[in-house]
Amino acid sequence: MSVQAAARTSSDAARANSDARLSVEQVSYAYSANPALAPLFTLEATSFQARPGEILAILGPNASGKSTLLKLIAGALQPLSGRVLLNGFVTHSLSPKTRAQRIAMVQQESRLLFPSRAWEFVLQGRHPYGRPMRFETEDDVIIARNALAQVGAEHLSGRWMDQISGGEKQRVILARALAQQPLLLLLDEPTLHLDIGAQVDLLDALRRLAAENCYTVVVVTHELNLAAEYADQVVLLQRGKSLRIGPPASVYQRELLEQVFQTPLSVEPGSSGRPRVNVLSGK
Amino acid sequence: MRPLTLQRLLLRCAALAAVLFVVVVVALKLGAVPVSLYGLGRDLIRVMLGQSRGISTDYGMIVIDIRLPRILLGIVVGASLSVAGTSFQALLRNPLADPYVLGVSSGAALGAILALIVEPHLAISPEFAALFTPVGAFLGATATIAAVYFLGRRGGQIDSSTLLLAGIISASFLSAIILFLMTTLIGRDMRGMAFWLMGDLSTPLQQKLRWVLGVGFFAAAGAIYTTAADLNLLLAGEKEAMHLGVDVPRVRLVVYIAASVLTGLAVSVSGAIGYVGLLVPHAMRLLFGSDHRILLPAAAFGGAIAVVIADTLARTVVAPAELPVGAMTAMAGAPLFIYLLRRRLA
Amino acid sequence: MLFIVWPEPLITIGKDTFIADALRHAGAVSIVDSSQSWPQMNLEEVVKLQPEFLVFAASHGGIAARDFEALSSLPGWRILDAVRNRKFAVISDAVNRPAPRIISAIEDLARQLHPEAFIEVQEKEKLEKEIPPKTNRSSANPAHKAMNLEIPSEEACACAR
Repeated sequence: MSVQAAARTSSDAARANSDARLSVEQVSYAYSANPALAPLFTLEATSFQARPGEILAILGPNASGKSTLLKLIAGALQPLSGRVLLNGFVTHSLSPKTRAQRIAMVQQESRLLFPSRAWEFVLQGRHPYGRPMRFETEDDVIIARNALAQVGAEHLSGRWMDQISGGEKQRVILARALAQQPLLLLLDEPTLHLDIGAQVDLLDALRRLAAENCYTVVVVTHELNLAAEYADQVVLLQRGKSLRIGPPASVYQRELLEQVFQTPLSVEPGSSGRPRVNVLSGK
Repeated sequence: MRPLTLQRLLLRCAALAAVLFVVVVVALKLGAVPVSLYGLGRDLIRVMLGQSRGISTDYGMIVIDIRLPRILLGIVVGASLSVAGTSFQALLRNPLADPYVLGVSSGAALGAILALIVEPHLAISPEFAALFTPVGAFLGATATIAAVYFLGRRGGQIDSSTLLLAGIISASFLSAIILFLMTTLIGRDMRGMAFWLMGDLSTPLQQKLRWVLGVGFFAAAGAIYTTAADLNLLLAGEKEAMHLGVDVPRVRLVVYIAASVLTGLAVSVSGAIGYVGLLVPHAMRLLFGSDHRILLPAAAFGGAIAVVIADTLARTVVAPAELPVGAMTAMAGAPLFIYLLRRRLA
Repeated sequence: MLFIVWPEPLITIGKDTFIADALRHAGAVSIVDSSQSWPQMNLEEVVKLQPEFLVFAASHGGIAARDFEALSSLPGWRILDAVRNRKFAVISDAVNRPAPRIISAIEDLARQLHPEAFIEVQEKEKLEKEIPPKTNRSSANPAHKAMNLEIPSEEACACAR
């Protein structure tokens, strides 16, 4: 091709790449308990991108590979093929510490053995920035306090983690993730044990934070309507295969959703302009 | 919101050190022979200047040669066991873990018994003969550490639950062998073994062993302390710790080896003193919280204090005879355990 | 003297045991006055009392001498006069069992602790070959009577502590 055309395509590519903070390129995975046997589970090659300030939802029924995909994005698992790039760096090759400075994960918490106070908990988010024998600095304390403020949980600062409600705990966990000052914020089914009010509060906060701090947010969920309402992009998974990737309007097609979720439903435009899913009873 | 700072850490350590100092002074005064602190101080200076011959009285010699080393031994053993116990509780995410749960003490006991059985049949020079039992015990401990490590792995790394199972099974198996040996080798030969199994500080240590013990303690405890912040996160959950930047496999390996070495050293010289490694961490946690950067040094001091007190009681309450220190820690430990249990539930 | 059942930890015999009784017949009085059968002794107490002799029962096949050497280099033990002056006695482990062989063990110990008393006996034995035997000073112990032993009386020598 001509020199100008080549220059144009490469600069187009460069611009497209510079927009995308997170780039998932042909990532696949297979898990088998026994190397001799066939894999129990596979994730087929998937590609998508996400920009700063964007919320991306990974949507699908149980056992569709959502959590696995999230772990691959987090760099916790090594893909069988392909790679995950964060600002051009392969996430899996980063050291755990560097990774923790750029990627923060919010997931179902293990039971706390010796409970701590909320502020201690949030301060743990500063760990990736410390030397091995360091103590937290004034700056760390300020960042932790700000993180709690950003999720509206400042009043919980002195409370014990095992004595606050599920929704409050989720907010503190999110604050710890924010204290890491990440580029990428990953959440694994964050609304699972929350009541509706708390769910909405959390997602509102995520949208605001993504916009204010330019986080790239990836949320794994099976809540159809929440994903539709808050996500800028949706990756629809079924049994390890990404069936469609795009904005909610393009992904929320009735036949497609019925096939994935195995239940009759109807899709209509909601009051906010985004699609709204109604589950129909009886088969 | 008041995070731990270096200053706060040092203050607390200084306070604990002061308590330990007072305990040591009292322990020095108690015993078979009377001692004046002034005379003791003078004698100590003489010893440090290498003028051991100039020690004023026979009694001074007794204190310097017997009582003081025994107290120092108690300090190192108590500190080792408590730091090891704290580490295992974090590593295994189990508040009931103590230094012996992974079988190190059973391995050491077996090593000691085998050394006792074998030693008369070998031609060793007398000075090595005295080393034989502690060295045998430490070799037994090391072998157990390696075996449990290999059994406790999953996917090439230490897995906490598998490790715990491997340790418990090993301890069980080794104890069975020990019981078998003890019943088949009847006679007074094994009487000393019974005391060893309970924990006993009365055996004076040779000079070489003292150095090994001291250096070993600081090296291993130091290694664990470098992972103190990581341990805090590890307690919150292994996945979470990894996502917060902790190199979980490396931390697990370092803590496992270092804590096992601490236990092995302590047990090789003093038998299996119980309850210290289990309860001192909990008591210190109640006083200072779960941050391992303060908890680990606090446990070291706390363990030292506990063992020195227990040993002083052990050697004075039935004078001129003495009880094994393990009996004292058990008698004090069980009620304390109950108290701590109720406190947590309250 | 101090009878060492086990050196580490230091275990000895109480005053009411048959072993202590046997040893007393050998002219050996333990410095330990405990009513326990097998008390564990505080090393400080032992050093304070400075026993004249350390007595071992050879249980490992007669290598008690080496045990003694091993102990003599340990802190605490090395300041015992008995260790410095190498005043130790080894007897057969028959002393541990209340059986006829205990007699020879007792005699052996007495010989080691009170050699001067036995020199008299040897002299006497030589003389007895020519002169009709005098009435032996018999002990209260019927076993001793039966075996016709002559035991140095307790007044004949200072008791070995």
